[in-house]
Amino acid sequence: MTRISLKESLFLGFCAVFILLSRAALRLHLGISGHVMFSTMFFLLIARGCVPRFFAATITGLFAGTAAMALGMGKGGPLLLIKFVLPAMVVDIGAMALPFMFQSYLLCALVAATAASTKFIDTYVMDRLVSMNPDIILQHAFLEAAPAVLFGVAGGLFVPPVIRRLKSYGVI
Amino acid sequence: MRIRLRQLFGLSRLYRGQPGTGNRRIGSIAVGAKLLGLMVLSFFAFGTRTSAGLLWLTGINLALLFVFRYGFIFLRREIKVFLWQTVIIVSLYILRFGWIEGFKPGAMISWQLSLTYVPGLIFVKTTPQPRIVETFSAVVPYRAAFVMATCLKFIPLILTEIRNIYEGQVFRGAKILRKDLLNPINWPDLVFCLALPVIIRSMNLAGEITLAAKARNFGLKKKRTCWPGI
Amino acid sequence: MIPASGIYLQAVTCPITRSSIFTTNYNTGDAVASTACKRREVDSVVRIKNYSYAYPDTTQFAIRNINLDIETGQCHCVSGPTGSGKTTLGLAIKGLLPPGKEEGRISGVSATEDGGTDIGIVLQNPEIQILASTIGAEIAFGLENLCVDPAAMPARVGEALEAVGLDRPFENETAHLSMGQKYRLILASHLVMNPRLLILDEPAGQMDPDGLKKLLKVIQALKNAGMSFLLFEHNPEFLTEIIDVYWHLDSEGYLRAGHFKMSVYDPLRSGSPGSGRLGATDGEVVSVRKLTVSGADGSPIFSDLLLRVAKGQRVTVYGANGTGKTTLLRCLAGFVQASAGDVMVFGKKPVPRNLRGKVGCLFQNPQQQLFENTVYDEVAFPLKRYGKRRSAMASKVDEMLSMCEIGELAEFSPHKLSYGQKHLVALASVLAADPELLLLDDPFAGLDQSRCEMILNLLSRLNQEKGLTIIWACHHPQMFSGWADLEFLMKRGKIFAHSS
Repeated sequence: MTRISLKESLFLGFCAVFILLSRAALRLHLGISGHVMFSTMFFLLIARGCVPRFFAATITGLFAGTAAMALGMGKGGPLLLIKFVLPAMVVDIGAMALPFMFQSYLLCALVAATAASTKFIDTYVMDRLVSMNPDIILQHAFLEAAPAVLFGVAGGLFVPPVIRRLKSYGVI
Repeated sequence: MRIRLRQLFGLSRLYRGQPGTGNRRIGSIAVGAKLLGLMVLSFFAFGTRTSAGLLWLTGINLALLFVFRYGFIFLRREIKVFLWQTVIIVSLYILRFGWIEGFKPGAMISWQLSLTYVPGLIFVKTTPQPRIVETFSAVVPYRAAFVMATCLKFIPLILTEIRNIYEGQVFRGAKILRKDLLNPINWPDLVFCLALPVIIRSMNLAGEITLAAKARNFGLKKKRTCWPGI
Repeated sequence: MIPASGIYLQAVTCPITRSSIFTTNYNTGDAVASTACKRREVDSVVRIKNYSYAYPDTTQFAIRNINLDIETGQCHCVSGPTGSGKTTLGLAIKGLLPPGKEEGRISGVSATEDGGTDIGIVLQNPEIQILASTIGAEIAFGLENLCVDPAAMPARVGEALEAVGLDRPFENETAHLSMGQKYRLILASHLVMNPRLLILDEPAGQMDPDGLKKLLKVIQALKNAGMSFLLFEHNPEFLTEIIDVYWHLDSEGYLRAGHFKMSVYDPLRSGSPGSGRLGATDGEVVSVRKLTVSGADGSPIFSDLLLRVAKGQRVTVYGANGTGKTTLLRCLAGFVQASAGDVMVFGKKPVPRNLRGKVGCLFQNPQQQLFENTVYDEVAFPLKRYGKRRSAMASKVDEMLSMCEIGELAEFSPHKLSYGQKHLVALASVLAADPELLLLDDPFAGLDQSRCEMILNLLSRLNQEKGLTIIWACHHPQMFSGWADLEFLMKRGKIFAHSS
C-alpha cells in the first residue's frame, strides 16, 4: 500500500477537529453523559470509510487526543490520548476484519458499539489505578460505558448512508 | 536570467522584531519540562492513599496555580465535572457499604481521581496553544506536525464555513435549530444537511491546502529547516 | 466558441519589455532610474507547445492544444468563463496536476539555486493558502521546505515583505491582516523563493477595490523589475493597466489570442427581463434603527446603523472585506444579536425559527449547501420540510428548474455539475420555498459576468412578479451598478446611502 498522502492526512486531521468541535458544542448544550460518543464514533468511522488505510481511524484518534490535550478539552491531561486512540484502534481492526462494513448498518453499529465500549476499559483502568473498590469499579465503569455505547451505536448507524452518498457524488 | 530579490530591491532593511535564532528551541524545552513535571505530579496522585498525602498534592496544585498567576476560578467548568463524578462515585460507595462505611472512601477516591486530572488541566490552561503545538512539532515528524498545526489553524475558517452552511440550511427548512435537535427524529437532518456538506467541504479544503503547500515545495525534500522566529 | 454577448477584439501583443536596473520603488510603482521601453532580445520564461491535459479517470481533455510563450517582464492574462480550465492550465505550468493524459510539452521551467522551480503560483483563495500563524513564518514556509539555512531566512523574508509593500513586523499574526494584505503576503511567500514567473489565479475575485489597487501597484513594480506574470481572471477589466498580452480560454478548453471583453450589465436594456422594477410597495420588511453590533472582543463592528427596506425593494450593500456586511445580514436573519438598537423584520424581532419559510439566505460558496442525490431532490428539499403536497411539489420544482435554466439537469447529481450550475441549483433550492425576503451575501463571487447577468435577470423577474425583497451584500460596487433601488456603502463601521 502506498504512503498516506498529504491530502488524506489533512482530511483525517479535519475529522479529528470535527470530533473536538462537536464535543465542545455538545458539552455546552446537552450535558448528558456519553453523548459525545455519537460524534466521536461517527467521525472515526467516516475517517476510516473515506480513507481506506489500515491506520486511518487510529491516526484520527491520535490527532484528536493530542489536540484535545493541547486545547485543554475534557479531563485527563495526557491520559486523554488513550480515550481517543483505543476506540479508533477498534474501528481500524473492525474495518480490516469486516471489509463490507461501511455498506452495512448492522456491522457499523456493531463496530461502533465495540469501539464505544472501550470507555469501560478507560474507566476501569483509571479506577484500578486509584485503588477503588473492585465491586464499585465495575459498576462505575458500566455506568460510564452504557450511555456511551448507546450514543456510539446511534453515530455508527448514520455512517453507511453518508458513505454511500459520498461515493455517489464521486467524492471518495 | 535569474531574478534575485536582493538585486531587485537592494539591501534589505532590518525589520522591527527580527527574531533571534534559538528562541523557539528554548521555548520548546521549557514547555516540555513543564509537561514532564506536571505529569509526574499527576502520577503521584495515583499512588497517594492517605488524606495527608492528598492534602499535600492539593496544596502543590494550588501553589502552581498561584505561581502561574491563575485563580482557582479558571477551573470552574472542570470543577462541575469533578463534582458530578464525586456524586456518582460516593453514591456507588454508599449503596455498597452504607453511609458510614461508604462516604469517606468514596470521597477520597474522587479527590484522588480529580488530582490525577488537575495537573494536565493546569498545563493546557497555562501554556499558550501555539507553544504546545510548537513543542509537539519538535518531537513528532514534520509532516505530522504540519498536519496537526494546519488543522488547528484552520478551525476558525472551518467554524465560519460550518456556520454559513448551518444558517443557509435553517432557512431551507432543515430542522437543526437547538430546540429541533432535542428530538432525535431530527438528527438525520443534522447529519445530512450539515455534517455531510461539512465533510465534503473538508475534503475539498484538504485538497486546496495540499495544493497550496505543494506550490511552495512542501514535501520536495525529506527534511526541512525551521524559521528561527516565533 | 464565443458567447453572443461578448465583444471579441484583436490580440494586443506587446513585444516590448521593460528593462531596469532592478531598483524598484513600491510607492511609485516605477522602476527608478532608467526605465526604458526598448526592443531587445528577451528570454522565454515558459514555452508551451500543443499542450493538452485530461484529468485521471476522464477521457475528455480539460485544456486542448495550448500554445503560449511568456517572455521576461511580460504580463499575460487568460480570461474565460468559470470552469473553462484556467486553473488547470496554471497548475500544469507549475507541475502540480495529478498524473493524467498529457500531450504536447511545457518547457523553459528551470530550477532555482535553492532547488525549487522558478515558477510561483498564487491560488484563488488567500485564506486557504496562509499556513502559518505569523507573517515571518508564513513567508519562510517555502524556504523551510527548500532546506534554506535558518540564519539566511530573516533577510530574505524582509526583502520579500518590502517587495509587496507590507510594512509589518515578522511576529505579527496573519489572522489580523485584511484580505488584500493576505494576498500580498502570499505573493511575498512566493517571491522569497526567487521565481521568474508568477501565476495568479483570479486575483480580483476576493478583493475589494482598495486591496486590488495596492496589488496592481505591487505587480507593476515587479514587472518593471523584470518579473513575468500570468494572470487567470474571468473579468480582466479590473487589471487592464498591467496586462500586456490577452488570451481567452473558451469553454472547450482552447486558448485563443485576443481580449475577450465581457458585456457590462445594463439593467435598462430593452427586452431584458430585469429591465422593469417593482420599487417600494406598501409594507416595511426590514427596519433597523441605531443598530450596533459588537465582535467577540467587545469592540463594535458597526454602530448606529439605520436601514429601512420596503416590500419589493432591491437593495445592495457594498463595502470592503471585513466592514460588517455579513454580520448585518446575519443580524437580519436573527443569528446575531444586536448590542444596541432595534432590528425588525416583518414587524417583529428576527428569530430564525419564525423566519423559516419567509426568508431565504444564500451565503458565500452556496454550492456547499448541496447534499441530496439529484438536483430535483435538492430543489424539493425545502418544500418537503415545509410540508408541501407531492403534486404541488413536483410542479413547483419544475417551475424553479426551468426558471433557473437547469431543467435538463433534474436527474443529475448536484456534485457532478460545473461550478456555475451548482450555484444555480443552490439558488433554485432557496427560491423554491417562495421566500418574501432574500438575503444574499456575495454568493456569486467567482462567477463569470454572463452567469451573473442571468442570475440578476432571474432575481429581477421574481422581484417584479412576486414582490420579492432582495438585500444583496457584495464588495465590487461596479458589478451591479444601477440594478438596485437603494444602494448603501458600509465603511468604517457606518452605513451611507450610495445612490438611489
